[in-house]
Amino acid sequence: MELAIECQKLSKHYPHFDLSNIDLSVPTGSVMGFVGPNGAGKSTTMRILMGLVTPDTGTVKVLGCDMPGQQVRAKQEVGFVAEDMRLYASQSLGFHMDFMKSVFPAWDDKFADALLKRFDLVRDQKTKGYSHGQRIKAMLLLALARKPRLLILDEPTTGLDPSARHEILQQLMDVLEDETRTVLFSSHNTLDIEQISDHITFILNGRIHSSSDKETFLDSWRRIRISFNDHDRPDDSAIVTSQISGSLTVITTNTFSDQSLNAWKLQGCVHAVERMNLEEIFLACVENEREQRS
Amino acid sequence: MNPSMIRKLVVKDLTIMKPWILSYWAGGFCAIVLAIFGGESFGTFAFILFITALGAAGVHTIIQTIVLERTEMNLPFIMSLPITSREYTLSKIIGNLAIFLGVWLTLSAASFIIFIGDALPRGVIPFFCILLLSILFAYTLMLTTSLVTEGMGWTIGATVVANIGTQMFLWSISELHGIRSVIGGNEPVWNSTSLGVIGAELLVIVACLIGATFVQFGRKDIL
Repeated sequence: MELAIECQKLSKHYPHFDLSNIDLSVPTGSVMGFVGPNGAGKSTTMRILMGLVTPDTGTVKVLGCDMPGQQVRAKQEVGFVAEDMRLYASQSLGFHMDFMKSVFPAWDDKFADALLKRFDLVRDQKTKGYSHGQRIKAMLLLALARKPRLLILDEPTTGLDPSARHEILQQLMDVLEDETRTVLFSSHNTLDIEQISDHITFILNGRIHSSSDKETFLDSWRRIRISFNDHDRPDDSAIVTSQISGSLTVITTNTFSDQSLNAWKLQGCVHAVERMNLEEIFLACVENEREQRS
Repeated sequence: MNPSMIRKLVVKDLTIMKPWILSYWAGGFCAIVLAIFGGESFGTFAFILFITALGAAGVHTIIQTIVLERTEMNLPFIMSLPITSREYTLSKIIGNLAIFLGVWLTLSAASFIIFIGDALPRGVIPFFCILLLSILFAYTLMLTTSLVTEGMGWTIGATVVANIGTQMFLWSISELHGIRSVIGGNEPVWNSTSLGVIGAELLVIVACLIGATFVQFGRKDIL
């Protein structure tokens, strides 16, 4: 399997935060949703991938290029958009488009004009008058029209209204019709991630919590309502969170399978087995991580 | 190194600063015209306007192209382009020097027209050159401080230090025998004192630029 991004044992120490042993593999042509709460290390990881931050230890390869050593070659084919990124307020979008065209030989004028219309942006308007949604759309236009092989998007939908979010996600899905294009998409909005990703990586407190393809990931999680037989508590390692309400215990597990269900049934009366959406899984992970820290 | 990208970044900064630079140029030339034709009554005002135009051109360019680029979060956008942090640093040094030297050199050269008439004794010329170089040094101090510290507070601090320091420096220099004894003469005298001060100023300017480049090149992270 060809990898667009390959990180091994990445670590970066800051006075109040540590990114530890990050292993991340993003297959070419896939959409990796990079999920984590605020301050989990998503942006730091992405900045390392872009060569903007040098890790203390570990190796990074982006599109086959070692980072940050070969960042110039890699960044020729990477489009990067971050929520906190800003264009020059005193200049128009047209100025930025012309500038990008001068830098990237693959810049596609027709596609850029089509995106201008689709995103309802005015080429000659100065960007200081842009709303947050317009700004994100403008940056996405600048990233997409250069026809990158890899898109790294750091919280691009944060703070957008539902219609702007829908427009941007729709555009991303259109872009992904090209199966050779890879997207790494970070967000703490699990709905967005669930909608467009085919792989999911959870990062919590500077560490990768889990990483796999979406279907396998969602299939491995269940919420089980069970009344345990007395003195017959199950193996704790299979439980991510548990809530006891009278004789009923509601547990979440990330190692669900037919065999594990049979094992649960031997330990008590299983009342219900429910699939979980990404948001519920996300909350369970965060709760589990907080419990472990405390 | 990627000279083509460095050139594009420099041109980008020049384009962004163009309207402002033209206005500082206009201010500087107005000051020179005022000094030539305004007589003694406008002499001091012309001098203040001249220094202000040069100073504002320097401070504004540094704040706009280095400090605000970071605080306004334009830097992640620029660093997403195919460049390294070293190329970015070089583009900032070259771009800022190109903009400021463009203003400084043309206004400095034009200001020597004043000495054609009788408005000022030509003996002032060496001291005037020292003054112009001290403005260039003050600018270099602000530029290198903003590059290394990347902060508004430090840059403002460097501006204050450069402003006060330049005045104290010029006052001290004017008190030197080698300068004071020849300043009122009809012809410029390039003695060891004036040449020594000019040489020292040039040396410190170059040292500041090399030092800042060295520090920036040693950095691992740009964001």
